[in-house]
Amino acid sequence: MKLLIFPILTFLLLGCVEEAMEGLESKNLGSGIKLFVFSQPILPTTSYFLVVQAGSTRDPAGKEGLANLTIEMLLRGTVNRNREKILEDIDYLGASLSAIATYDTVQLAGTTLSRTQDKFIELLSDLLLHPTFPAEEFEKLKSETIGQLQLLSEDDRSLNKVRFTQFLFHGHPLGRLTSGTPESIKSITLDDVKEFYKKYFVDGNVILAAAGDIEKGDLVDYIEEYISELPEGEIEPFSYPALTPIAKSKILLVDKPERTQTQILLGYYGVAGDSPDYYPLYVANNAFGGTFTARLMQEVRVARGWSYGAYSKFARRKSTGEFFTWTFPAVKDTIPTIELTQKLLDDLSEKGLNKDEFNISKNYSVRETAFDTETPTLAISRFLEGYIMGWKGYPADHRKKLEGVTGKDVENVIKKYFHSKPFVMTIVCTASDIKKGLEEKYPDAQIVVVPYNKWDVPS
Amino acid sequence: MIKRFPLFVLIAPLIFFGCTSKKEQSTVVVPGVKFLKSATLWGGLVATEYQLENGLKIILVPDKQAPVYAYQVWFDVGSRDEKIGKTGIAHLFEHLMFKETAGMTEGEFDRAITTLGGNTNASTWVDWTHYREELPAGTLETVVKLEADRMVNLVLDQKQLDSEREVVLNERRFRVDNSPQGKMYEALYKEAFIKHPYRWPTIGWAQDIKSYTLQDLKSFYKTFYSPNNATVVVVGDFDTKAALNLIYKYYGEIPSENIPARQLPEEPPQDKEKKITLTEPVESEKLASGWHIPSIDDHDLAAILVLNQILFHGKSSRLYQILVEQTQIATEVGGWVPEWNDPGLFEVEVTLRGEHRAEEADKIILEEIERLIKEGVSPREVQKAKNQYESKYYQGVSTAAGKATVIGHYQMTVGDFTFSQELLSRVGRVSQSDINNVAGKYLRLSNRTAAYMKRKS
Repeated sequence: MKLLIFPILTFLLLGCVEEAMEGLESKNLGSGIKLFVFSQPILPTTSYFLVVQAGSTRDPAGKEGLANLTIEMLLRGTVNRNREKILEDIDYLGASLSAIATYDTVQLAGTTLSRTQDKFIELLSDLLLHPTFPAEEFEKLKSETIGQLQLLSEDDRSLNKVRFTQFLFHGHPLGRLTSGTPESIKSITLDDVKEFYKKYFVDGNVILAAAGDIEKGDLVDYIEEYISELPEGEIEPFSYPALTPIAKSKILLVDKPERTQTQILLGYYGVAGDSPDYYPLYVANNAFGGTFTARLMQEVRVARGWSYGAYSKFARRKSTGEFFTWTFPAVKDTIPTIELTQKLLDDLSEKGLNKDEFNISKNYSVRETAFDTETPTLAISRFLEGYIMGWKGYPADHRKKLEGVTGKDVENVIKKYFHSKPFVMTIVCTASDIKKGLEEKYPDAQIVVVPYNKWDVPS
Repeated sequence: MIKRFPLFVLIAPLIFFGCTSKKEQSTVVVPGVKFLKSATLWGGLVATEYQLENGLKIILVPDKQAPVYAYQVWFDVGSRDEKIGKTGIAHLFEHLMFKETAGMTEGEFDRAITTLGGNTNASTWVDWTHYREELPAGTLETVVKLEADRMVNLVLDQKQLDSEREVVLNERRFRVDNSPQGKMYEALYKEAFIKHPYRWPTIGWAQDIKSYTLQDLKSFYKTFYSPNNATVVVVGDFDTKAALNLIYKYYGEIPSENIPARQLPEEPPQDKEKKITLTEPVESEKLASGWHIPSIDDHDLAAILVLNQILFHGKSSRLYQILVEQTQIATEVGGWVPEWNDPGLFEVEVTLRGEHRAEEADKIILEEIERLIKEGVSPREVQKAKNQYESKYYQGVSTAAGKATVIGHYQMTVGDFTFSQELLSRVGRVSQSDINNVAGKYLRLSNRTAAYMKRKS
């Protein structure tokens, strides 16, 4: 039946998405793939994003990492190629191709040379349509993934980021690690992977976006040659559950021997990506910790030399994202740095920004948008982000929304979202160096110590 | 080492494909500015080099691809120009360049760039130091004025030095003292080189960072920061004539200085294999290995670049296949070829998996090198390596900042930004036998140093 309606769907333009990005072309293909093309033949390369709209939030409890293993398994064998041949072909084409899992998607993303892109599309379609999920490769992949996860603990910054996510969003889908944990990876079976693939790699749930040295017509021809149809399927809608309010401050010390420097993330919940508060918050945060001229950097690094970097951010996600400050001082300056960060948060909450800070931050926020479309890859990435997240009009309206932010808007969101307590904080450190001091400073906070190489994080 | 965000800037192997046509464009004439040469680079963009009477070189690449541009100032001084006891001074000085000048208070530089919607940063590396801004179009005068000002009017005081010294010590804790990789590479270079300044880290030894005096910094500024030791590179959306007029207006009066002739100790040939072992609280063992190879302008470098691709780069490379895919004793394998002024080290790094030992990977690598020398490489391997280079190159020049960095790097390392085209030509001519020759010539045991990182129980 799908083949019968193919000619009609092939020429059905999606229409409204072009409004989100100048120069973007789109098409619903008969195969069930939504196609987006941004033709800008500047360099002889094209970037491709094959996106399936189901990510790690679909991982069952205890099987975190399933979405990630599923997309990785596409690179492990097809009816036409074994693992070695897949890797050989990617490299020989002068291409790159990565398997990526996010909260909301799994993707194959890469770049190829113009002269090899028909072969690249053939490869991509083979990976998408004909995976064989070989059992031996699955066991190898699980072993590799566990090995990679164990390596994470060697990088203090990355380790802290993961522990912060687990600690802040404990029990919520956002607290499930996209990568999984060594234990959850062990529990995933090949049948789980096949089921994930069968459920989500279906008609209407797959996007192919291309940007660079490619014409829409050529791309449609390539795709139609290699991809006839995707199986039909029904995707259950997913909505993020509400977050449990943070009633009491809590501190997680990720205990690692011989640290001469600590990694500190301090934060709480922020806002959803489509919240009207997001843009004023973006301006406010750029003044607080988003740039080198911001208060946090000026006070922590420039005035005191306590940390090489000092930043803050409201993560923009489909659901509520996290707010965090990030510093990494010497052990001796750890508690003073935390105290200073909290003081700066309180000062901001009480007094807001001065006029100069607001003007600099707003100007920066508006004018930096000139870089949003500097390269075709960057432009299509931004579009895809908005499309997947459901941010209507993004990125075309991005600059306009920033231009519309007023001092009053910023004042309101500062009062609403910036505070020092209650907080959630994770610190990679040698716990004995700072635990006592933290207990004295924060007698009401819950302080927990976990070994750096243990993945179970308490609530 | 970079001033701001903790991402280490490495220059990827850089080659230009399909951009060999070289022509002189219709030259823009501005009084006081001398035309030197022009060349067509990627995507038909034309790069033109000019010079002011004070020696400042200028390379302009107008490109209307996006309403943005990159402005970079490159100084011909890096950590190789430092002296024993003063290591890291080039990097710490780079930090101080963001402080105050005679006419500008601390923080004004950053605020001016931020207000315009731009970003600014800097990098210090073994052969050069460069300062960079990326800005929306139409803002050129501000950045030219700011950069010219700090080239000549910087104010250095003890308070700033003390504060920034702490920042750099924290940066060192971040990059080296609390990083297994950082420690491993520091140890590898210290062992591999016995005379040349490449033996010390760009960030400097901690005891040296603690010891600089204000006079050391003033002397460094006076010696190396002058127009005749610098090149300005601008790529992106700007008008050439207006840019030249602005650069002449703000830099034209800055006097040139006598730059002392560089006298670097020559590294003697290594005649015996060296091995060192480090013990750290790591999850798995690691190996870093380095073979001495020639400098960027040596004709063997192109074949070494291709050799690296075949052995270590990409998931279809020989060693990735053996160590990660087949024997599964490692999680990561990578190789890197420096394009440096002086002879550097062809680096290989392996991260072992589980209980596997670094020596296991080392043995396999050495056996595979022997096999390559004995049996040679296939035409397909050579072509694959060239395709990968080409692809990597284009990824590196997709942005205005990427293009400016490529231009600046070659200008600093070989004194000619068009050298990239020569390198293209050399890579294009690499044959199977060239690869065998360089493998046999450089990947000898007596020419290498290996660092093993063991797990501390």
